[in-house]
Amino acid sequence: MHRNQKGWEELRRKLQNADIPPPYSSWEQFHQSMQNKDLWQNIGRKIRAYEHTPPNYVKQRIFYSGTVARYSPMPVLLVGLIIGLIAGLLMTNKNNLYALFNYNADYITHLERDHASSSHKGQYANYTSQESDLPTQYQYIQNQSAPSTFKPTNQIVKNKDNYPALLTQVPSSGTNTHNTNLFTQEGSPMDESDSEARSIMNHLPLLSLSLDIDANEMAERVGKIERVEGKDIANTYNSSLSLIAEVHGGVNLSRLAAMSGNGFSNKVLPGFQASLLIGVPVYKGNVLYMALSKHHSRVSISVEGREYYNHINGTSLEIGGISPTGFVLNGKPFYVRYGLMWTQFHGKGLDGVVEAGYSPGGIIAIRRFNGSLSRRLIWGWESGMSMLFKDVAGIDGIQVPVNFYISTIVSFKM
Amino acid sequence: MWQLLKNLATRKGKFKNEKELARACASGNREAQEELYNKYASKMYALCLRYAREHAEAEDFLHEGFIKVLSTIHQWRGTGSLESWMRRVFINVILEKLRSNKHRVYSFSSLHPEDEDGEQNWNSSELNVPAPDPDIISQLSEKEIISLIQRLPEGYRTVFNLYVIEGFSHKEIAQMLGISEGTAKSQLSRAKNLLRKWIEEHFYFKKKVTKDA
Repeated sequence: MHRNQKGWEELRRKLQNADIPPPYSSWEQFHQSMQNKDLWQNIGRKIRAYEHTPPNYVKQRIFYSGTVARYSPMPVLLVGLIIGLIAGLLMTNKNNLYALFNYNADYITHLERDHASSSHKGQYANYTSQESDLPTQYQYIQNQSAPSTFKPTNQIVKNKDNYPALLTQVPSSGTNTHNTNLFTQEGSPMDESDSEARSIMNHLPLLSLSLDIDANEMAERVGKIERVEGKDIANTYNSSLSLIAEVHGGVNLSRLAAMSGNGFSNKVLPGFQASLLIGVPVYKGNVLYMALSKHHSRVSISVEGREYYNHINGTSLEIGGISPTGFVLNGKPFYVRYGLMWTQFHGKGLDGVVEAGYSPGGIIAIRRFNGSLSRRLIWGWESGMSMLFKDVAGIDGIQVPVNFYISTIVSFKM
Repeated sequence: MWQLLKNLATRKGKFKNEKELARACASGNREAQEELYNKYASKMYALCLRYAREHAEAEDFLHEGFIKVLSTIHQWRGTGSLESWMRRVFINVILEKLRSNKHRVYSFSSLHPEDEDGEQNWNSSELNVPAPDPDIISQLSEKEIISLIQRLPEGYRTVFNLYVIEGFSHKEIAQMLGISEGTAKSQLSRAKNLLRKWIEEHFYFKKKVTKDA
């Protein structure tokens, strides 16, 4: 070997055979520390099992309160449904109850009468809901005394067994000189002279935000934050005083599903919605909430090859619950929000008549919190669907506008 | 007395060979584990000292290394010596610990400002860094040499150990540490230069002190 390398080789030989007893580490000490390590590992395992969390403790420390996942959301779901139903009924006056069970015919009747008496007097003269033996909706009967400029555009006729409805006459483009209230694919404008329609439409939200206050979720998250600080989670967790505010911004896609009726198809169109929510913790991570929501949707129906659009704008009161699902992905739990809605809506029917009324509905959504923007700000998303059980499109039968939506949630501690 | 006899018995070894010892350790036999520890702790501690900055860190390495060995000893197939396998396990544990120590991660790749462009600066002539005199090495104790190695910056020390003592190639070292081959070579040559200098200084200083005394 070259002399140059001999020194390193000697060093290597010497160090490879080096035998230096560890000064403080004896087998007893090592064994003891191993047992301690086992002990701590066992404790860690138990804690993780208790929390239903994967080992990556740091990632999930803020939001996840595993305790909640062990409890079934069913009791809260049931309570929420019952309370929602009662609250919905309490909100309702006689007419609204009638509307609920009679597809809002009475309300529309009043509207039509007013409507007829103002801009198109006489056209609806033959209609009275009392005289009709038909259970739903109104009859739109062609009136021979209509002004010469007005050509009836469509006619909804009902037979004795009046389901489903039949649309017998559909206007073709250009034949409707009056063109009152149809929203066509070509974008025909709303009749400016229809002051009632304008006044209703003017109330529609152009943009909406929502503020959700959900006490228990906040308590949950505060509990998590405090656990990081080494404080007692339990007291905070059970606290009903902590509140959060959530700002939702989201878009929805509306689909009009007909439960009865024929002669039309449907497709999906965009809209947006938002809500103000107040929550009360009731049981281990389960929350009862009440929310006020605003939503704006468009639905589209195609009648015998022609496309009609309809705007549905509503203000809904929701009552329901938020519960942990028990499903955790990457250390972040999923929650389910479910509730009943009672919606006051405005919309335009195919026949051009502005509709307004009340409708029952429901919401179900999955929510998840992704991360923290700061110590107090937490963001996540919610996605789900809400439904109205109402004839909102002006076609006989019940249509169910379903909004599939996704929102960004930004929550902050109050 | 009893302790002495016990130690002697332990030294002698209850288990016939390494395979039997390893099998017993794998099955959780505390006696076998104790024998394994007593048999290899000193050697492994010497290894740990070479990679550590100080004794306390070496003890941490030793502790973690033995936990790893005892929890994975069933993976030893008995093809090589148990000691070699344990060395490899220890080195892996040490490197893992060094890597996980975030504020020191940088040290593998850029220990020294000059190393940032080490790949460019390095040339093959540096591979033949003059070695210390073998006679000097033989006159120094392991502890003395190790304490000098511990003075090296972490990256230098790691590369030096892996290359000179464990016998890994530059390519393997580069892969293990996540650095380029050039950087590994550069760091090795700098480590050798520094170490040779310190060894000689230490030796002559020691000689002078002895002489004066």
